[in-house]
Amino acid sequence: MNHLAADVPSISNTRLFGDIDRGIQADKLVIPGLPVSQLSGFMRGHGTYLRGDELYSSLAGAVRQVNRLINVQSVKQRYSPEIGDVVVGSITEVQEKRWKVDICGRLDAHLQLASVNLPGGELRRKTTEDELAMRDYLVEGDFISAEVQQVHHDGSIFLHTRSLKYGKLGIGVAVRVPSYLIKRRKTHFHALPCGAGLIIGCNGMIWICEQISEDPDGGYNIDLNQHVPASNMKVISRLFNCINVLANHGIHIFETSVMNCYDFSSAYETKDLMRSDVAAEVAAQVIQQLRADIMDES
Amino acid sequence: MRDEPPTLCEREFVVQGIVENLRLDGRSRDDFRAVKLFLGSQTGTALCTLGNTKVYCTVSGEIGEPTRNRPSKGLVFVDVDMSPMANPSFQHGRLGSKGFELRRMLELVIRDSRCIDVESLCIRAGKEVWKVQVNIKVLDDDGCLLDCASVAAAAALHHYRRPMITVEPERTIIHSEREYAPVPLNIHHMPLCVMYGFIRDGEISITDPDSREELYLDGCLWLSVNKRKEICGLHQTSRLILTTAMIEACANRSFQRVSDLTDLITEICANDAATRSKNQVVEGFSLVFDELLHTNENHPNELIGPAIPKAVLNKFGPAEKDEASTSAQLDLNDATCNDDEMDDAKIQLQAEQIAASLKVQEENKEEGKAKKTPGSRKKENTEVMDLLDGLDDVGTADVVEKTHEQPPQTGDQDFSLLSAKRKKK
Amino acid sequence: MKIINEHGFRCDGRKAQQIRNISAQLGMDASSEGAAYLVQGNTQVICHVYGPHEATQRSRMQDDRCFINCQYERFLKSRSKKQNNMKKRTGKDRKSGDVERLVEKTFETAVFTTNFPRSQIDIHLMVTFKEDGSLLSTCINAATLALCDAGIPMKGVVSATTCGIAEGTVICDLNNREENDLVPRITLATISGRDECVLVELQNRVHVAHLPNLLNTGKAMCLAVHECLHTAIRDHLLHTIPIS
Repeated sequence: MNHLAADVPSISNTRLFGDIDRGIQADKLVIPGLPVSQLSGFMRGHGTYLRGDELYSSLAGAVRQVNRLINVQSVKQRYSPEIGDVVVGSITEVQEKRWKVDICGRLDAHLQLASVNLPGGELRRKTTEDELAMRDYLVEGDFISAEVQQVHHDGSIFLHTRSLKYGKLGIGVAVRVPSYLIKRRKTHFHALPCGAGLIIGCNGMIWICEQISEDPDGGYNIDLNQHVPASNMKVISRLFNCINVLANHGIHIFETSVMNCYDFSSAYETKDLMRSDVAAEVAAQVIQQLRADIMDES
Repeated sequence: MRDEPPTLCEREFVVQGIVENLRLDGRSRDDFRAVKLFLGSQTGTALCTLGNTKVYCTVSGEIGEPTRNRPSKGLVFVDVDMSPMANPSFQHGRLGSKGFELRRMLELVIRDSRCIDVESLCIRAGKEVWKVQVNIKVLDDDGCLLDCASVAAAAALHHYRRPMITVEPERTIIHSEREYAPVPLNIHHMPLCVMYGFIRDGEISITDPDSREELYLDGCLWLSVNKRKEICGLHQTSRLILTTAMIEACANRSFQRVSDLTDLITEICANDAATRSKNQVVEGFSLVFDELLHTNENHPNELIGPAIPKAVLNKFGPAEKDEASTSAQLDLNDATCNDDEMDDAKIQLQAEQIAASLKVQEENKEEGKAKKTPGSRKKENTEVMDLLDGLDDVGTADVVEKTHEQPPQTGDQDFSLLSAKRKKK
Repeated sequence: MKIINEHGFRCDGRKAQQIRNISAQLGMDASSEGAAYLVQGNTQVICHVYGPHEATQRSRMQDDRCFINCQYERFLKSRSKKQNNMKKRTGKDRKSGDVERLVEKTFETAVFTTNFPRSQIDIHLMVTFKEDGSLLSTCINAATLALCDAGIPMKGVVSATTCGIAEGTVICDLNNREENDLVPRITLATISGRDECVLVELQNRVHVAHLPNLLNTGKAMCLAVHECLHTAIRDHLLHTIPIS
């Protein structure tokens, strides 16, 4: 499996896993300004540009070739939305007939008034009264989960929450991880066996809450004064630390890896997970388990 | 105020013209616009116009403390003011990115190239030195600000005279003009700037771009050179990729231009010094309004010197087209009328001059440079009545040009139609 | 004291056309998109890159491309009173403003800005306590590394160097002592070591006869610096691919 993605932030962790086979050959690495391929007849993909007749790389990363298409994928990049991605973002502005949502991408996304479900599950055209009442639904600072509906050529993104699983989010905690650690899967909403709910947004925002619920109201009637029991809080905070461990060690984040990390971390106290030696040990165990799973499958 | 984005079709037109060695105002790629230099009655003031670009520079000096690192060296400060007069997108007092670049380059040219002998500005080491302040004000922006500003600054620095100083053990005496003649600054060399614009990824270069061409260029290279073939500064603006060969080629091309400009400045300063030494009244900027009105060559006998000697003028390429010059006249006319500080008498005098000169010029255009008396205006009016019958002939582009020039002056539509008819004939 | 002594060595023991040792670390900060720490001799620069993200400075936002915003900070050992006043008033002194603008202009040429309309890329540069000349070129090198780390497409790796002329010979990679001597110097930045200059800044006077030599040596040194940066980036890439 060819994985080119993130960058390990702290040097000590890099060197720890320095000798692990990351599945990439050294001669396929390029830096901007170097020619990508000596042969001609290739189609130009992302990360390359034409200079005269030759293809040159514009990114620092690895060259990938799919039939006649050559592209260069860099290790780190800002989140680039695709249609169908599940994202978690925060509202930054309330404008006329739409909200602007920060999804940690190149530009803020737009959530049109026509793309949300009204409370009560009504399906009707939005009127000017709804426009005036926009602030009653979503206000600056609210977190929502949504799906990417459209991506225009100039980079502007349109979201929608036209399903019962999307909508305003209630009490919980958000973790921001680099977006290249998130794989696109069939489902991004998980109810973990340890007793918490997890929404893994493709943009790198992960939401941990008590439980995933499909609210017919679209989440707009959430009571933020709800009390969360202490046991659930502990589970949520342990998950928070686990996800940080995975992110710091450059491990892809998906349901299995999060659960593995949670299980291996139960040997330690939650607060000890923040120590680099404990974190490294847990991460090593997770990697071992993941590799073992791959071997079992193949 | 935000700048409007340049139009794409115009860009294609201008770029293609440059490729074919024909620019909008008829110059070729290597032609410069006419330079006019005026020195003011107060020493250290200079106004330079390069085509329609006008930059004004003043040099002043005061005594102050030197820096700790260099206790026996004077200080030179450069300040640039991009006035909203020049371009509505400039803000007074705040330098935009263009202003920053300009100021930085001028500092490089004036201060860092060590053209002024700062050691001679020292009065008492560690305590008192002369602080020379160079203030540059942009009055009108029609491209190539740096060239114009550097000429103005160099002229002002040459022109400036600081008071004479006597250093006594207890005190320093600053003598007034009447006691001792003021002393000029000690200037080693005169660095002047030349700007090259590039299109087509640096393949083709033009000199002295005007404001419209500047919008469509890929980027510019700013060179500062002196007569001794030394390069005092180099700056490349953004979005331009150059090879070193191009840089060297531009440097070599700029020497002739700088040499001519240096001669111009020295000649004008020498003239001014001669006038002052004979204790004659220096006319200074009172010449300016007249001069700027007669910016074309319709009046070869008229005064374009003492600003520019004729021999030097011929080197500077063709004069601007008539339309451009008359519109410049009109603008200035409005400016002078609205200027509260001028006396009414002066305004009257100038208005008469303007009217007379314009009439003369108009007649020159129609009759092909033959002079006409004011009395013939009546005859023209009668002819207008005859010509009004043939209105359906009117509708060519010529008419449009003429009406554009004339309305504030005559306010008479018929007059313009007449001139159009004449031209058509 | 002469800049080049009679044996042909400079005050820090280098030959005339020898650049200082360069060492770099990339990606050491998790919060920014790209980060780089570059040490060139005794000058140390940290650079962080954020973006491209939604433009916060609306006045500079452009509809067809992104703009680059640079902030440059320098720990001065002792600031004069005037510099302190200026910093209180405008938040920065004039020299920082100049460096910022030059870095912005350099990267506006080198980065494919038309890929990101209505966005902005932030480059934050910090020169640490140790600074020893050639600040502008070190900042450009550090910013290039950080932009590579952030995955922002560029035409090539921009490498910069400062060269001067002393006593007729061209010296490269000036340190503080040589810069203070008001040696005429040129800062040259090229893309990928090729003959494509994105930044040319000359200070003090130099006769035109010296110019070709100066420019050619500058280009050769930029190529040398580019080799160092190339190695640093490759090394970083080899160690930073995620494990799954």
